[in-house]
Amino acid sequence: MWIEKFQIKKTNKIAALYPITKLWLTAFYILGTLIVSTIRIHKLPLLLLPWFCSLFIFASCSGIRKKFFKSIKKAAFVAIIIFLVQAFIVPGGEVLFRFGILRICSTGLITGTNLSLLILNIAGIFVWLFQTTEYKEISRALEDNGLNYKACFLFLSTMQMIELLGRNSRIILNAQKARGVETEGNVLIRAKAFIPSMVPLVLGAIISSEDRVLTLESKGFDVNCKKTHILNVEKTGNEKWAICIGIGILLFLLIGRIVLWIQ
Amino acid sequence: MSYIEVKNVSFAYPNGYIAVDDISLKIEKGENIAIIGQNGAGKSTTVKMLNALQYPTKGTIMIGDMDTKNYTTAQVSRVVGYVFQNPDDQIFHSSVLQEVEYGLRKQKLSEEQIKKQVEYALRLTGMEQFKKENPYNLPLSVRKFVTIAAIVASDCDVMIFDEPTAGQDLMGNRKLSHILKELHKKGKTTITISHDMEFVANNFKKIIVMANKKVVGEGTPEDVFWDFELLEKAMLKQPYVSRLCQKLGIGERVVTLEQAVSLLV
Amino acid sequence: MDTIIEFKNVTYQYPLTKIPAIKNISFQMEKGKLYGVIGGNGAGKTTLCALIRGFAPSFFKGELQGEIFIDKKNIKQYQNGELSLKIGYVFQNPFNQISGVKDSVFEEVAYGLENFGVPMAEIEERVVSIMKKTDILSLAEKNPFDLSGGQQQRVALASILVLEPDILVIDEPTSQLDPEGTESVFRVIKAMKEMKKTVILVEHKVDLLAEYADEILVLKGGELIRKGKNQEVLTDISLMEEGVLLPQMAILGNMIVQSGRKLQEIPITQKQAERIFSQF
Repeated sequence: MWIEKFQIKKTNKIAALYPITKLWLTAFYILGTLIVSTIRIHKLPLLLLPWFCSLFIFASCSGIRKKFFKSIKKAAFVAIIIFLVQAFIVPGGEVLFRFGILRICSTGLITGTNLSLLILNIAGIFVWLFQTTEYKEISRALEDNGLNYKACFLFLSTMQMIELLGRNSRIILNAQKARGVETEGNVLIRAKAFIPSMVPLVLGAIISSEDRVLTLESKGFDVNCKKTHILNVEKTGNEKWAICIGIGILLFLLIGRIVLWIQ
Repeated sequence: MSYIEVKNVSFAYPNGYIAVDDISLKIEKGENIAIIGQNGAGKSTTVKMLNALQYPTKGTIMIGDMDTKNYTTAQVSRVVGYVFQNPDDQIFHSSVLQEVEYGLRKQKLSEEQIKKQVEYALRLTGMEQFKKENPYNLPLSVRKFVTIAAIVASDCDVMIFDEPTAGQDLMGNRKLSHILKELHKKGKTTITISHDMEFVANNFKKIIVMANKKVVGEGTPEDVFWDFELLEKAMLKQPYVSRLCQKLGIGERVVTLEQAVSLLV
Repeated sequence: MDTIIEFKNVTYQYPLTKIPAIKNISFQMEKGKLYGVIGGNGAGKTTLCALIRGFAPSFFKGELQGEIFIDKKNIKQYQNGELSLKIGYVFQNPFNQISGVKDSVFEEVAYGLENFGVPMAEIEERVVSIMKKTDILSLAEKNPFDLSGGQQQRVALASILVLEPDILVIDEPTSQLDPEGTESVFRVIKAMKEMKKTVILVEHKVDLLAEYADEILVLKGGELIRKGKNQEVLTDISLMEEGVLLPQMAILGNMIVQSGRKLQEIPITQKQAERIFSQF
């Protein structure tokens, strides 16, 4: 059977969860992150660190430890930059540290820590979502749950388009280099190369989109009828449990937070 | 020493894929050369290295006394112009005139000089009539001539045309043929990649055949199109008229219609 | 005679343009024949294709005069989607015809059938059968974006053929391809002929049209200046002055006639030429 070959099969139980369930888990995690971030130790949301560690364990349990670690390194790099920029720039509060003209004030340290840890956590859960779920699974599940098929197509093709534009922009950059546009060097040189490379990229995308629209129409995209789908996305039966556990953890955090307030 | 010397050049992509494998070429100043071969044979990568768009991972390329390794693409492109296969990768001005002037303005030439070179290029390529048009209002095959005009105007010594015959009609092919002749008269070195065997047989004295990332043969159209072993290696066919003469068993070296007529009549 | 396409005094003008792209064209096309459309660039070939498929004026807008009949029914009376099943359309640039939402050739070819809600079992059968005919079965699991131009163009043909249209409009399918890719596409076009499809093929490679087409239409400046049997049209040397390239064999034949020798007929294909010149 050919159709079988194009089904997505996962052995890991968490990764195999229904995409919508995973969307819910993602939402729960973000909510949880926001709750945890309000618990401060020395005015710093330090509990977000162990909270993030739990995400790492969760990703490992989902069978994507290596991939996850690789992507999260990039996110961590961005988070550290944001932390440093915030810490050194935002004034206010007492001065904690001084080195020549550089200084860190308490307000800067707090906003820096808060922002970078929030970003790390939220980026982390999305990395988990997209490493365990393909775009087409999400799109398929959304369509099953009542989202218009045109919106689903838009979602999928946009994701694809980003890749395509990247590829085209490299070709165009080369084409401009070939006629003497300097594209390497300092910021000014790069800025000058911007227009010669953007115009063909955008116009090319517009021209090709005309072809694409007509091709879609040729393939019956616009026809109003019940569509068939080669790709099946099914529930594994563990979804209810996953949601229950998610809500349980969320409730625990919420109650914990309230208890800490009352004390 | 030849004007362009490609010595034992290989090109591999960072992922290890080899696009050109140990090729050597010698091209004299003022030569008019065609490169033929199937896609994936390494033609485009080879000419991109001449333009320093890519640098050899092994071997050296000399253009005159310039080792391309030591120059940026922009510097080499003053000497070696390259017309991409898809004009839409290059065009970004809102009029044909501006597009053709662009390279010259970058070189900061005098107004007079720019005018002279641009007018020549527009006239030669037949783009004069479309001077004020937006290039994107012209059909693709005509748009190709806009990018050709831009390279002709820049007046560089070596000009490379990547598949200019693709999608051209009779008039387009005639115009291309005329442009190549004129550039030859001016002493320019031209290198043309083409899939149109009739066009190649009629317009070039020297053909380079590439297959499987290597240069597998070189010679006049008569040499190349009657070397069956070479054609098979490159998975190419003779021009129609040569095929006919071969079947009829006449004229072992026929590549043009004129030659065939003189034999048949 | 079984007419499948008919144009009655059709004039069409794109929006924001001053002159019509198609000027007062009338013709009939018969079921199951392959029609080659030739002419210089800007002669109106692509517009003619768009009119047959109904994209002009439904998509491009603009102004249409005269009447177009597909299967004896006015094109205006066709419902949304009905024409997609009746007429397939394949473009010049294979890259732009990839849907962009499927990451295997099999799914790409099946996409049209999914859209029309064809049952799963039937999809599999039809897709496999058409992939065999277009020689892309071995590519079934590859990503369409990773294929060569010739392969992509065959995928584009397969994804349209799988809808089993009676009519196929193919606009310069080989102009961006190498000789190998061109041949592979023509093998598919030959297969379509065997499937008794009516094919309208715009192509600059007249030597191939000489071999495969039944009839030729020649356009110039939006007008239909010739329509007739392959042999009649492609031997008419006066067309060269109109900017239309003739097959190499026809040019050769004409050159020989001009040099004073008599020929019983002007060849258009190599086989004919061999037969005629072997008597010399």
